[in-house]
Amino acid sequence: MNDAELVKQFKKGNREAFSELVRRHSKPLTMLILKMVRDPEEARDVSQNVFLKAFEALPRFMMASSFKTWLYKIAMNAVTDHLRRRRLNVEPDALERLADPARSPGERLDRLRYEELLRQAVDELPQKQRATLRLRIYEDLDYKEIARILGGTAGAARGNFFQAVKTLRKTLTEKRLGAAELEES
Amino acid sequence: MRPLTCRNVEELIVRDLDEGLDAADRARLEDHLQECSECCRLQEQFKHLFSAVRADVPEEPGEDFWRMYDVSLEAKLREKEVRRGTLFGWRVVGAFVAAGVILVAAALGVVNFRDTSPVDPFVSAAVMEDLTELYGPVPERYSPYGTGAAAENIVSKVASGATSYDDLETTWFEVEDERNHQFM
Repeated sequence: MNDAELVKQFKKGNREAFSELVRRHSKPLTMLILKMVRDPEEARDVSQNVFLKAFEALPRFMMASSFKTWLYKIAMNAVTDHLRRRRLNVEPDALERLADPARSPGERLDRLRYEELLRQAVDELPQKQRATLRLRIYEDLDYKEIARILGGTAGAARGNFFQAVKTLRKTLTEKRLGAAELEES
Repeated sequence: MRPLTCRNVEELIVRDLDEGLDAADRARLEDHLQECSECCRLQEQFKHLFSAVRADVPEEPGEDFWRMYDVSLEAKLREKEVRRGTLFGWRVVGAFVAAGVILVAAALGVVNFRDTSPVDPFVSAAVMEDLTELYGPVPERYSPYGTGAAAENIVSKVASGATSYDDLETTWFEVEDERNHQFM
């Protein structure tokens, strides 16, 4: 049974149909949220709230888009709200990555710094560019689908992605050069 | 085909790493990169960036996390259902209470249902007579209620209780005043 049929079943009062939708989508959705909020407990809370909202709103869902697109739309709004409420300042498993035996200490430190800079730079991107970048790279969604989730056109989504990548490259290059200069002085 | 300039090569590099290029664009890009070391450096930076963003993925939580996720979500959904059911119950109770209040009010004569009874033609005629007696025949051009069917409509309104005599009188004198006492 596909998602649309499950939605119809739920609307007819079959509660189990919603549980099946949760089983299908909870893991990929939570992983996407985790990539954005970078804390498993927070990702779990946000993801569960998305399903609770979906549970409430599903009887009014007109099926103008797929259930997945609709769900991801709710999720992106929930993540934006969540990140707005708290400033993202998490450094997960930094020490573990620093202890990577495959690299020399200098390389590990460089890599760690680059990752820190990268996260900062991604967090500083405008909200829509940041969301587009993540949906494109982590979810591998095409631009039409991204546009359906975030609003706007596929062309605008492509433009947002290009702008995001361009800004990241520029920011990282400047920050790394700045850091190198600071170390030398 | 026009050769690429350094200004528009950036977009091609990103497109190449993102969606891939068709053969013609790829050839143009490669031709340019062979001659431009600056753009080669740019391409390396973008490659590095793409792989860094793709690699920056948090570790997937273990089995316990997902088990707890399912259990706590199911509990929250049940709680929501119970709350929704309780709310529905209160709505039903509220509807019954409201219906009871209306019935009691009707029995005690607080609400007069006769006011909404259909128009009786004899009542209409009686009302028309009363109006004529009170105000005399009204020239059509001064009637605030129009003529023909519209004029008959006001009689129906009075008879059915939708418009009271008091309202009718107030309206009448307002119109009279606006017309500078022309018809009284």
